[in-house]
Amino acid sequence: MTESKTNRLTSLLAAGRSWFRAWRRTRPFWGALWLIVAGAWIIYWMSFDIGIALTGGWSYSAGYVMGGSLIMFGLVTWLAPHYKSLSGIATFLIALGAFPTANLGGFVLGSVLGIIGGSMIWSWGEKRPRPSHRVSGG
Amino acid sequence: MSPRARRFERTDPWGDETGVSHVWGRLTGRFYRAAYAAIDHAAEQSAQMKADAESVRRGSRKRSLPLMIVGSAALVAMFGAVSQNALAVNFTTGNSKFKLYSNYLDAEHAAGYLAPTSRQGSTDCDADVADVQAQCGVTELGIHEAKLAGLCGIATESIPLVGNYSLMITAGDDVPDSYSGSSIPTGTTTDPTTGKLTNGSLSNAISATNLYLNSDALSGYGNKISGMNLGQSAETVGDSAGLTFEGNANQLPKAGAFGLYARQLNVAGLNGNSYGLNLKGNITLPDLNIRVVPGAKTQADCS
Repeated sequence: MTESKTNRLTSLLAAGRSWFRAWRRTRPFWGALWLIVAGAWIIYWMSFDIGIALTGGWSYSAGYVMGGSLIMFGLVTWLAPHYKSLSGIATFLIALGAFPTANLGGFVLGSVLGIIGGSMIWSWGEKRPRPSHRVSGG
Repeated sequence: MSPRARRFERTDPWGDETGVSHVWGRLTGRFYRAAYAAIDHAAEQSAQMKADAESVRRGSRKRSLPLMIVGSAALVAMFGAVSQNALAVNFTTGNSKFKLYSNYLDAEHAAGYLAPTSRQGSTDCDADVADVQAQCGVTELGIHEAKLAGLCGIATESIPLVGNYSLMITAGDDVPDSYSGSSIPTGTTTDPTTGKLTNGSLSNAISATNLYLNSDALSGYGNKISGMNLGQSAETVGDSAGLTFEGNANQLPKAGAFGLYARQLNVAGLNGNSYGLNLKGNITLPDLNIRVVPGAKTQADCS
């Protein structure tokens, strides 16, 4: 690989990285990530053939419903951060509701992650700038 | 219009020609202009996003703490309600193999039959190989009303790079290190005539309604089983017990296949290898304890 090619590649990677950083900083990224992990965890412990889940009633489908809505709200928070208050509160309640319905909320861990993620999203917003920023940012 | 799109407008190669290529040129020109406009729009938006990200610092604020505390407190309260028999939960697992131990099973209206089950993680039904689905023969056992004295469930997962981890769920009475297979475990009180749980064992029992168990090995000591019907046609056992079996078409009971029904099924020292446990009803789990421990665990680690 020639030098100009590697330069182009590194500058492309750097641009992607700075874009991703900006994307991350303009939405409740980490809270939503916890929600998606929580939802996937709940579904993992309640996984059935999708056919059984659809025909078998609530006890088979609860994992998909509760875990799936956690994942869905996580994606909504990423793609539409405007709805953060709604998705924060909704996922907080879903994570609590997953405890009695979906294998004790994925053996407690899924519910805990959902509660942490939901409250992180709900409380996401503008913060006081760091003191160092005020000096250098000017 | 961006410089890029404007440049394309000037150098549109077919713009001055006539006939078919003229139309074609205008179409492609329009397409390219739209594509460039979309790219410009996205670039503008991401520039705006970058400016936005740098102008204000955002993040999870301190007000998340009270909400987290409230949520954790609610979770702890629910856990407490479950272990004190006050809250019934829905408990269902599928596909993953786990071991079940119970000091005593007191089942009213139990029905069972043979069925295939699709298992994830196995080619033959005993070995554990990842990402394969196998059809394994299992017994489907449905119980209309079950009471269990002591319960210990162990699911072992091998996590890449970390090794084996076991999820252990215990509830009710302590499960001893092993069962004799020919007697009722000490400390379990049963009625001498009917074999049902009584006194201390009954008040601390795990009770479940409409419990379905799907296992390839169940062993224990049958104690005073009554009203048992072996060889009943499989599609009628569900009706006898007041249960409806659900699943794929080939997992449902077939007419003429072997089935069993028992009005009262008591098994002491139950020891099972299960693939699925489903509850259509609810379960109460006194003294519930869930823990994740490293290593593959056995019955000796239950108490």
